[in-house]
Amino acid sequence: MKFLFVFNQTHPDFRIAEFLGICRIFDIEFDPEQLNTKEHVFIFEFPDSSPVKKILSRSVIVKFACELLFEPTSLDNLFQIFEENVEYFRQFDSPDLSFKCKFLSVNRQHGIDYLNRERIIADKIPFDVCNVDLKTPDNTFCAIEVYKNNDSEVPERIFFGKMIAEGQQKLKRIYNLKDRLYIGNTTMDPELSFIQANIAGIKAGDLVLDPFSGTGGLLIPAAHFGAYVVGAEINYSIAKAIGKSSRHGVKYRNDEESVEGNFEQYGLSDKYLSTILADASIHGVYRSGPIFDRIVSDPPYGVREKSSKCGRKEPKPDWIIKKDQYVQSYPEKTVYELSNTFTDLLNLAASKLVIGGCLSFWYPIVVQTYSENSIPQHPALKLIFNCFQPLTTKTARRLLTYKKIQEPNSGESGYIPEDMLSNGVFRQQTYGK
Amino acid sequence: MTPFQTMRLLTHNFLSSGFLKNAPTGYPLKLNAIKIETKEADFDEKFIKNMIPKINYECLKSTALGIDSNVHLPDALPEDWESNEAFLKEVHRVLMCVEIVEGELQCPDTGRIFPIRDGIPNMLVQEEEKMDEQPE
Repeated sequence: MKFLFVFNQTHPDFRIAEFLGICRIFDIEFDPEQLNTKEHVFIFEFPDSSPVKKILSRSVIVKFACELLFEPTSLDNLFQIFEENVEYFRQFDSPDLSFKCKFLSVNRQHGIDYLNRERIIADKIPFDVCNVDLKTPDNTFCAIEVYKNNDSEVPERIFFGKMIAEGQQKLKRIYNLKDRLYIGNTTMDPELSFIQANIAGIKAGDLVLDPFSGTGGLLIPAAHFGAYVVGAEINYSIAKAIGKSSRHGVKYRNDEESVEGNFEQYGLSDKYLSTILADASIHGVYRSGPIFDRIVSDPPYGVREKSSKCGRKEPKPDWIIKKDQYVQSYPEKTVYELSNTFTDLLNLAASKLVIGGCLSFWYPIVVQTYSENSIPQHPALKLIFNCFQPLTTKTARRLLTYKKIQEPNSGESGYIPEDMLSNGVFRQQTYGK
Repeated sequence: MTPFQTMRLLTHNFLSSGFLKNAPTGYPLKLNAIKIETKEADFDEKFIKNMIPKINYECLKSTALGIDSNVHLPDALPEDWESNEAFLKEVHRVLMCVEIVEGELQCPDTGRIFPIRDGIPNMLVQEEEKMDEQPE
């Protein structure tokens, strides 16, 4: 069977990774050669609609998919095809069933009267008794015109199909940051956080860790998809939701705000296991052996959120702490060298992920000096996806996703062949100094 | 009202103090619970089956018994655990429904205390307390 997939045009560089990540979750066979980032409408073959429905249950980037019925050469040709296929439409032509027609144009929006087109096409569909219902129709038929560009007079291709379902674009609305109880300075955009969960292949019943969890922004999508989540955070104020608020015009965080509160807000409390106050550079805080199915993270880059680990700065005399006060204290923090943040993360994944498990994190780059050699590597981990998102004219970030392919041998650790991040380069580039 | 932040026994099962100086194992951490909450959580069979091979069963059982005398877990993991629904449900109850709000974790080797406040275990230590070479 042929299915028509219509893709959202935002985040094109994440499209293939998200699609393949979802196919991996459901063991759906799919040849990546069929998908590219230049076009937005694709025809894929699947044995039936069940894999399509599964993909639509997860994808934030797929707008919707339909069963492809006809590929007319023009609208008049489509109406002719309707006449020839009266038989096909009869099964939906009942007074108990309703329908609507959806019209979409790709690569040209200008000068097209959408409502009129939808009305004309709906009129021509050979129904006798079936009613139109624009809000909750039983069946939706879609006509899609693909233009070459905004100036094209006639469409290059026309497709007509029966809608299977929409993708998960609604998640963007449901999980919007404006209404979220507790957010931090660098809480991930919800759309990207769901895309990341798909690329990382997070599935129901997984155990997921974010070693830089903050307010839980990357763990919420994991929980939404049925995984159980643990967060580690070094900053006491963030873990406990106290101190200054990240919201514009709000001075302090209030009592309502907490990481657990975020999960409760979305009805995901059962999926939220704990936050632990821990230093992401200390892996011995988890017992030895593989534990986690997925690790997702957006480590601090030292721009909007400083990156720190426990350690010593140059001491000052009044800093001396008596031994019996140790337990009560919150240790001093020192700068966490950006490149070490990432090699440590790879080491953590290599030792604590199950084989076949995924590590997915955001990696800042300076566009001009970026090369494949600046990507962190580890012998036990294989890079499976590398997606690009521009941030400023000079800087960008990449969503790197690795799969654990074997247990690490002793002495093996993460490394960056050409370190482009040390000594605050990324921060300097961001501020144009 | 602020929702309770809590620590579940599943989290305890994964935590270790093996990063401390003079802590060759650092596992299992002794749990001294001061305030315990019990919550209802939906039984997710798939997840519990995913967890059982990953958890340290002995540690789970002894820790659970230490804070709740009503725990009905056999001494060893039953052979038929995958199909034994009563057992899976009890593991679920212990892992997911018993929650620590206040208490402390103690390193079995050094006695170092890690406080749990408002359900958040504080595993941060001073630089001098850490092993020089951290295990991977």
